[in-house]
Amino acid sequence: MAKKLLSPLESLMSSTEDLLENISVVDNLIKNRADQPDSSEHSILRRTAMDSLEVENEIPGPPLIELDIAPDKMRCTATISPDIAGQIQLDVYNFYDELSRNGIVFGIERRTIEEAVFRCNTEGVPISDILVAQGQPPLQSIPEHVVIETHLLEPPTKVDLESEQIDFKERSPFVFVKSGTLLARRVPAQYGIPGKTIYGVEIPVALQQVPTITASENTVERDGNIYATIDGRFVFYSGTFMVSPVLDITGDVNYSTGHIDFSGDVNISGNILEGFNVRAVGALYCAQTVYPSTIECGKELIVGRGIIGRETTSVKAHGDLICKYIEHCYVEAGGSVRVITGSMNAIVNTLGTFSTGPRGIIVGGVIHAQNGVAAGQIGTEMGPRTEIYCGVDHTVLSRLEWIRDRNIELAKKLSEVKRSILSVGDPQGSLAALETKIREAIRKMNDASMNLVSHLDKKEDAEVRVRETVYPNTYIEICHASYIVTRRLRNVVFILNRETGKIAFK
Amino acid sequence: MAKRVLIIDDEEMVLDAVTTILEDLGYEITPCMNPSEGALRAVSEPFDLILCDLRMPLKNGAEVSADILKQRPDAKILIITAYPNDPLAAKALASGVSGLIKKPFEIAKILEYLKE
Repeated sequence: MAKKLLSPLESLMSSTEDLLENISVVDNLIKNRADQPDSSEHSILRRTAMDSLEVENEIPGPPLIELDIAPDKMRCTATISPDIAGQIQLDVYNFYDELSRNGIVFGIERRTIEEAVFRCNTEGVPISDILVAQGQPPLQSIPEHVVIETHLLEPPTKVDLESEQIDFKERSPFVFVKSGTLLARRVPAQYGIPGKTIYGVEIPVALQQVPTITASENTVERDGNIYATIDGRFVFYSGTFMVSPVLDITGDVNYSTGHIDFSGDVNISGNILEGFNVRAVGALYCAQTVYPSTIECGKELIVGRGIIGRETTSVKAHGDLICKYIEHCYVEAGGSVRVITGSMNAIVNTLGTFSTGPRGIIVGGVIHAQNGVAAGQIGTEMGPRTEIYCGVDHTVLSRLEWIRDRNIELAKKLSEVKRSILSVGDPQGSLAALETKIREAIRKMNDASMNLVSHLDKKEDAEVRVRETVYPNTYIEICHASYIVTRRLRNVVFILNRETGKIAFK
Repeated sequence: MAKRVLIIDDEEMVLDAVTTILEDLGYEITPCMNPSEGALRAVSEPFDLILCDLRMPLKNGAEVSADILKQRPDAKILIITAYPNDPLAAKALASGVSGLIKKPFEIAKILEYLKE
């Protein structure tokens, strides 16, 4: 089709009318867009006329730049599209002008823009989501603060890897630390730096809130690190952490606490339930009852109610032991044992005294009390027999018993060897050599016995005092002197008569 | 001169073992399984200490001790018993034995009585 030649004026008018027509289309489109809600968080701040035309009418046009500015004004991305006809190249300066027109002056990613523009021009494809400018966020100001080592805030749980089971008796909600354990680190203050939006507006420095944590008892700070100064329980409460030499357990020792093994004092407000072991390097206080379990403490043991045992129950206190009653258990104390209402069928060994309350009774069992016994009543009319031993160190006696048992085994072996020599002879001399060895072993054992006996500390003034009644068949021994009560006696004191070496009573 | 100890016990194994151990300690031991024979030897020979089992089938330790003490009131006798509050042990103590030792034996007590 031949083109009609237009005069310059006609040409100008025609082109102007086209332009006006295009503009009116664009205006309508912009109006329509403005009426519709924008689903995107980001708002489209500018579109060129050609963009709209291209999108809505698919009318080819010059290159276009579409900017997308984040609501926080910290980021601007762009989408650029080439001239469909390939006639007009996109210019980076136009791009910068576009940014400038939108007020974007800070954090412009010039290299990114140049590369995107170049690619758009050369490949003729639209490129979207180009990060063209980004603001500088402020660096927050953080005051000096203390950060606790994370593992201390997570109670350890022991898992049996083979069976993939948790032993809940081994599980503890408490965190125990050794002296010298790193507990926390001091983080120095961080000074803030203001930020800037892509519009160049300064963003003031904010002060970051950090929890205030302070180190308390039994901790020491060295070079910004905070360490435990004692073995104990790590306690963190109300912003303060410390190492407590006391472990307070509210309630029972049970599956919620697991076994207890603590390097300081342990304070239990409830019971120690059956099967749960408690070991305290310091003192142990149990407000209620100790059920069959294994208990050991390095200082005194105080039980508000009783110690109820079975054959498996073992209670050892290196200091004094105080409780209301003891029943069917093994108890050992480095200090004295004080039982308010009584001891029933228990084995009690103490290096101090064993005493009951004014009306307390000892029925059955064996009491070894180096410094003597004081009870309201010993034995009953029909009850089990009771044995009381005083004046000697039970620990030495138990070692002597151990040696004796080994010696008896050796002596039996020796008899067998001697019988063999007599019956079958010993031409090689090997049995004779064995006999010699056994005799040497017995000699060593006897030497050890003699040594222990020579150091056996005897308290000849130890006495057994009974305020009410001591019943027949009660066996009393003071410093190896024996006495068996054959009739009921009241308000009596048994002592060792040093002259006769026998027990007398008054 | 070694101190002499008479042991009267019907259990051969225990008797042998105690004899071996005490001999090694330097004592002269006379073991005796028959209680009557033991009592006879106790009164006819000098012993520094007599250890006598309490429960024996032919004659109990309380009777043996009483027999010995009748003729040798100064004899030092220790009764060996599994149960110190055995009524027979009380009887033996009443008859004048020096003391009781728990089975099989208590070395500390034996040494102490031999020291005296």
